[in-house]
Amino acid sequence: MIRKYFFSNINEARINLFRNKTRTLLTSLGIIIGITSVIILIAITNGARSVIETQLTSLGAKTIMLKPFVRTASGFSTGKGQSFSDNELKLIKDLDSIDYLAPIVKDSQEVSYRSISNVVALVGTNSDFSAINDWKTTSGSFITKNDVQDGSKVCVLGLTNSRRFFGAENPIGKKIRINGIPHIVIGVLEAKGLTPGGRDQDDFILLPYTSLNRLLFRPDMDSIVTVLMSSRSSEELEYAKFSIKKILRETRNINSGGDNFDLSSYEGVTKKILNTTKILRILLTSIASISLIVGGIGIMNIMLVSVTERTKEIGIRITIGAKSKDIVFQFLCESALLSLFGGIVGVLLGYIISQIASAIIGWPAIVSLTSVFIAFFFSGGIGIFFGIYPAFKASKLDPIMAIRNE
Amino acid sequence: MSSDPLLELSGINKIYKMGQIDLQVLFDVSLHIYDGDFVSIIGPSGSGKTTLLNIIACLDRPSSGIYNFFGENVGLKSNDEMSAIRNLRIGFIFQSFNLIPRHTALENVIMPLHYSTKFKNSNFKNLGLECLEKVGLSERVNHYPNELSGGQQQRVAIARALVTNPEIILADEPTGNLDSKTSDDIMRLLKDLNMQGKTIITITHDNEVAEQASEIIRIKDGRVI
Repeated sequence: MIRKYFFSNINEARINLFRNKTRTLLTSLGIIIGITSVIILIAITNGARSVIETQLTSLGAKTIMLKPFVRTASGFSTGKGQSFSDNELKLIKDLDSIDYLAPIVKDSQEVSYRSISNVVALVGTNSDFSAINDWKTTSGSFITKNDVQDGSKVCVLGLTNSRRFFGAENPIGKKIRINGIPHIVIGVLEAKGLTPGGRDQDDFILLPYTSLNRLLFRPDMDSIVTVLMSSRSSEELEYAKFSIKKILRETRNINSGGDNFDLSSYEGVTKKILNTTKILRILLTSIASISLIVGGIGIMNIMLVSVTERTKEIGIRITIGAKSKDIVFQFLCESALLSLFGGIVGVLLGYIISQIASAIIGWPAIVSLTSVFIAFFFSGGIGIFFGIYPAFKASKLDPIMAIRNE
Repeated sequence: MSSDPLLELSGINKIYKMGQIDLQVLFDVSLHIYDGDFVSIIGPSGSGKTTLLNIIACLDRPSSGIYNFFGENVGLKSNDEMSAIRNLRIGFIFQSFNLIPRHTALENVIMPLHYSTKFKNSNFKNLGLECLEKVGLSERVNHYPNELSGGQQQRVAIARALVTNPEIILADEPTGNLDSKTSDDIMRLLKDLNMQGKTIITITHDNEVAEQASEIIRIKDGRVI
């Protein structure tokens, strides 16, 4: 019975709207614009989010840092403590969730080329360093596995040092002296620029860590200050950290709480940045929602006009047996259908425009199913909400007066 | 013909409050209408005949007096119950036809069916076509009111009045907007319906129309004379 009632009302509403095309279109324009802009804004901020996410991943959302750790009496880390053994690094490297592993050895030494000399930060590492940091050479090549194995006297320059020592000259193949020992420049890294704190990230020279240790007469393993790793995916980051912790605790016989190492990652930063895009999306969506509300008020206006215009019709309907609830339901169906129609057109238009916009700004536009559902729910809801007042106004008409209205 | 009246009005008064002034339009009206009657209520304009019709039609309530409809006191009915009476037991015919312009003849005819739970959606079309056939408009089913002549529009209205198969047809100046030939056709149609057992009540100011009825009730200054 309810189904019959519902369908005959929907049908009546359809007839009324369909036979008044211009007005239907103009009335739903408000909703169309509102829904279109909501869809576009959500699609574009979603796209921006995914772009930022991939960029963040390349910035190190998968990166894990492992450092020796000694708790002092005051509870702070001194940064010095038990370094990592060959065996430990091998066990970690063998984990499925770890793709790359690069030990880091650091020092500063006098570097000279012809008449220029300067004290430069030296970083000893291996071939994985480039992949973990997504840091490539702009000319020449990076340190290879063989270089590390052999302790070759080769180096890769940060851009600042390439400029400092060679200016416009091509440094590849030239020999520079590090602590007096000649090293062949095999590559120059692309620029990273300054940190937000103003530190020049390009002012260093990379060597195979074995070469650096040999240069300084240091044993390989005790010198490692940091181990950089990258997990296979950002989802596996936590699992990778858990596995590393387990390995180190086993090899070092540590109970929980007494760790003498420190594991960290950039996920906190990632989360914060993604949160920012979420705030941005909420902001933009709420701006778009204002146009939805304006559209809803437009529908209410037209429904009120419609009630006045159709006073006689309402009078006829009540006379031939329509109850108050029939009239209310009829007008609610009409306004709901009106704004649902606006919703459908809005979703389609929003989809098309966001695809065009995406092609222009070179950014993916992601129209999610959720945003489509929200749009439908919202537009239907607006139609019903703003239709309530006109509908009740219609149902309260006195049929005797209404039917005489011309 | 049963001995109990279908409609029984006794001592009906109707008073409108116009600001400070009370305007009484019906005075102690009593009348009985029986199953199968063809009654005309005739009176000049302002005589209160429309008010009387509204009360008979369950569109309005008397200020005092008792109106029994099929033996039940209408005064005790709720608005929704009165709507149901109008929907199922009374067919309405108006001077100005009162069809809904955006709907086709068929859609207009089946409109009362929407407001009752008695009929199935799937039957709507058949019931509507049947009634349009009864009034001789089978060929105009999908025309809009503005594509029909006055006489045709009134036939659509009659079909709409018949669609829920009510016992009573109320006609308010049914020929008021029609030429004399068409008027004759419409009155003949009403007579036929009366022959088929419908109780017909018309109100008019036209003696010629009134005389077609089997019983004439004259009303003047709010009183039956």
